[in-house]
Formats: sequence, C-alpha cells, structure tokens
Amino acid sequence: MTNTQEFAPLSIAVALPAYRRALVERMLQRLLQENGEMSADWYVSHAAEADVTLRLPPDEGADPSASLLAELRRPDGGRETLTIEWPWRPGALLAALQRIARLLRSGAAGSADARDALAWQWLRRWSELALEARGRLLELRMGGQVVALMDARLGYWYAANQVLPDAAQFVTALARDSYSIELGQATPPPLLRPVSIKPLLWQLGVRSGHYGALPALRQRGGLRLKGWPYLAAGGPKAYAELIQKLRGGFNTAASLRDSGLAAAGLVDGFLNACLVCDFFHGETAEPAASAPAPVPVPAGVFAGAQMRPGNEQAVIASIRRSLHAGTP
Amino acid sequence: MSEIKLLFAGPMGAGKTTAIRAISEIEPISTEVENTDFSESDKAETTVAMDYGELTLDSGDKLRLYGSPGQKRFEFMWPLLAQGALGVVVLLDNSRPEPLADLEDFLSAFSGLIEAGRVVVAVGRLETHPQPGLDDYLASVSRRGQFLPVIGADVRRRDDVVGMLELLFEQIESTASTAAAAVAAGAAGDDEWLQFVQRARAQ
Ligand SMILES: Nc1nc2c(ncn2[C@@H]2O[C@H](COP(=O)(O)OP(=O)(O)OP(=O)(O)O)[C@@H](O)[C@H]2O)c(=O)[nH]1
Ligand SMILES: [Mg+2]
Repeated sequence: MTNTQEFAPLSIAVALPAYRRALVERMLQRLLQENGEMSADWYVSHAAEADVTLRLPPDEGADPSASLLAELRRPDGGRETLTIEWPWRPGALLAALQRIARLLRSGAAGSADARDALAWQWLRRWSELALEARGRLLELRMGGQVVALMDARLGYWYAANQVLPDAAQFVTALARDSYSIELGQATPPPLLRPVSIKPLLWQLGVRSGHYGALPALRQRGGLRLKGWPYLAAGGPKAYAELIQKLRGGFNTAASLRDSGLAAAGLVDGFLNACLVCDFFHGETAEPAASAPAPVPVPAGVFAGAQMRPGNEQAVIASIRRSLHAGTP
Repeated sequence: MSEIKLLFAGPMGAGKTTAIRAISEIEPISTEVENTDFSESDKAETTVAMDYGELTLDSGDKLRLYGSPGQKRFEFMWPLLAQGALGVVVLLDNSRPEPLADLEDFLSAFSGLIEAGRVVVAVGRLETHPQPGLDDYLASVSRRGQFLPVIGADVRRRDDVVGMLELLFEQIESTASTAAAAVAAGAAGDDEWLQFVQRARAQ
C-alpha cells in the first residue's frame, strides 16, 4: 500500500435519502475505524462540495440493493463518476474507497483511470439495455442532445457525421458532458449510413477491465467463445492464451483471473470486450437471436466460394453432423 | 449443386494426408491433376500430386477434401485450388527449418480468403519443437495486417482435426452474420472492423 500520509485526507459526502444516508454514513465510519490506514485517508463530510459524493443512480432509486454512484472531484477541477457495486457489503465499499483514493491521488494517470471507469459504466448500461431492446434502437445523449442511435443487436452506430468516435475521444467526451442511454425508436434513421460500433465497444471493453467484470458477465454461468475475436489482433499476447482457454471449454471470469494468464484488469477487459462484441456463445441481445433465422449474406463475403450463401449454413450443419456422427 | 470442398494446405510433411485420412471415409488417394487451366505456367505436361478424400453428408452430398501439393514451386496453384472452397486449413510443421517463412507463403497465397474469414492455421509438432511459439505466429500475421486463428494441433488426433474445422466453421458463420447484418442495415459493406484492426496495429 502506498504511503498516503503525505496527502491531505479526502472528504466524502453522502447525498442519499435520509434513511439510507444514515446507514451509509455509519458504514463509512466503521470502515474507517476498523482500517487504520484508511482513517488517515478519509473523513466523512457534510459539505456540499466534497472530494467524493455518494449518490443513488437516477434509475435505481427504488431498489434497496442498488449500486451507488461516486462523484469524484479531481484536484484539477474535473469530475468523474464511477459506480460502486454492492456498496452494502463493507468489503465492496472498502475496495471502492481505496480505488477512489488511488484515482484522486495519481494525477494524470488518475484521470485516465477515471475515464476508464466511465467506459465501464457506459458498457454496463449498454449491456443492460441490449437485453431489453427488442428491436428498438438505443439513444445516446450527450449534453442533453441525441448524438447517436445505436442498434445493439446488429451492432450499429448511426450518427450525423457517420463516423465512429475513437474510444479515447469518446470517454473524454463522456467525462466532459453528461450522457444518458435510453431506449429509442425502432426504425433506423433514413439517410444515415450505419457504421459498425464493435471497434468502439471492443476498446471500451478493454479499458473497462480495471473496474472488473461487467455484471452481465458475472450473471453468466460459463463463458465459451464462438468464432475468433479478431478485434483482439494487435493486443497483448495474453489474449491469444485467453482465446485458447475460452475456446477449449467453459470458463468463468473468476477462473480465468485465477489462472494467472494475465493481470486481473487485463482478463476482465478482454472478457468485457468479448461480451459486448458478442463473441460468447449464448450471447443474445434478444431471445430471437438464439434461434437464428437464415439470413441473406452478400456475395462478397463468399470470396471465391461458388456455393449459394443460403445453402452454406445448411452445408456446415450437415458437415458438423457427419463429423460428429462417424469415426472412420 | 456445386461442389462442397475443403482444402488442406501446407508444406511437405506437415500432415495434410494424415488430416484428410482422419475424417475421410475413403483412404486418401493421390490424384494426378493435369495442369491445363493454368496458362501462366509454361508446360501443359506439368502434373502434380494432390490428396483427395471424401465424406458423405446426410444431405447426400459429398464433402470433398483436397490436400494441395506442398512444394513451394506449386505455390501458384494454392489459391487456384482454394477457389470455391468452403475454407482452407493451413497446416504448418514447427520442426521445419523456417516455419514462419512457410507461414508467410500461405498468408500471401490465401489473402483474399483470409479476409473473408475462411482460413485457419494449425501448427504441428509443437510438442517436440516449441519454438517459435503460437504468439510468434500471431505476431507475423498481425504484422501483415491480417488476423486469423492460429492453433496448435496434432493431426494424428482426429479430435484435433475436427476441432480445426469447427473453428473454421465458426469463423465463417460469424463473418457471414456480421456481413448479413451489414446488408440488412443497408451498409455499404466496407469492413470497419478490419480498418480498426489495422489502425490499432499501426499504433
Ligand atoms: N510427432 C508429430 N508427428 C506429426 C504431427 N503431425 C503430423 N505428423 C506426422 O508427420 C508425418 C507426415 O504427415 P503427412 O500427413 O504425410 O504429411 P503431408 O502434409 O501429407 O506431406 P506431403 O504429402 O509429403 O506434402 C506423418 O507420419 C504424421 O503422423 C505432429 O503434430 N506431431
Ligand atoms: Mg501427403
């Protein structure tokens, strides 16, 4: 643990409805008492402007087990928001406070990290809404304006300038302007050309890894890759080993972290990226997708192939059956 | 209907015949193919040996399994043999003097199919020759701006051969569904993913 004594303690304020605020404040006090080095780092404040303010997420007010948002005021005046999952478990709250202290005290690196937390939150919202979308598009607002419509099932991004932002620019914009994602209309906007959003999702996934596995990932029993996540190209070498393992059989985020193949943040980032880019078996944005209807495929994909695309799925299915049936 | 075929490519001794034998219902035969189509090559009398095996599908169709000639002087034939194939499995032998140079030859020969997600690379004899490792293969692939699965495999094990085909099929399916989505949404079809991968590598 780094020596934090050289820093002034950080203030934390609890901006929750009264009954919950009392509970959280008591939890904080006890945590600080029980963890010696923490008490030098933190004090609970009632000021309107603390270094960290805990709030309820706007959409989860009714849920007593809801996560909390921690609003961070960085030394340079910038603001970040990150989510504390399961704050009602002291261990989770403690880990969150340690993480926040590191963020606020690591200067430039800290602000980069905090932007990664935004990537995590953004993807969490994306993955939740993807499950509910049922053909509707997701509406991304930034600074109050709709900036893009997103098709979570097909993985498309529709925006006026028809260009997919780069992940670094994107999280910087998320940090600067407030954002929201909501369910929107069902029909794609006319005239706008869809752009694959997966490169952006992949990068956000990778960046989000330091903040752990996305909840949608934790809810899954076993993880097994379908296909080959070629967006992983150019990434760390450990990706190749993770791919091998994830193709070999069912794994969980925890088992992979324990496997020692790579640092936890890298493993979780890779898994988050695979999840949001739809590289896992059984990963369905909609129930319909689990029983895929034959889809028309452009001729260009079948470079050199003479077979009609519609046939190809049937042919592959038939080869599979034959391979698995007989052992010559 | 048109021919359903898979091509096993790779340098001499990499295991093409063994792989075909693992899944073929007939003993692989070496066929003499006359080099009539290839006006580029100087002589009509050029013949090359090619492996052939087959598997009858429950649809009644036959899956034809071809093994391409391994000698580098037949390099010009590899893409021609791959024409119309469902996909290509490139078998490499890690005990050869320069397996990464072998890899380069096949990546060049099949570049179009690689972009279409129809090629996998399987490296054999890793148990006795662990170097270069799979990471080195992936690095070579990346440097060329390509990306495809590279796995270790021992073609003497049928499961390994079935596994490499399964990997190939999954790739074909995922590429096809992405492209289908692009069409459904009316996209122009240029590959944002590939561009992204290339940008990421350029960094
Ligand atoms: N130890 C070991 N032997 C292997 C492996 N893969 C293939 N072999 C052996 O290598 C030998 C050559 O395999 P073949 O199937 O004849 O190779 P080929 O590619 O058809 O060779 P050519 O027709 O000469 O181009 C066989 O005896 C295989 O059993 C491996 O991963 N490990
Ligand atoms: Mg042979």
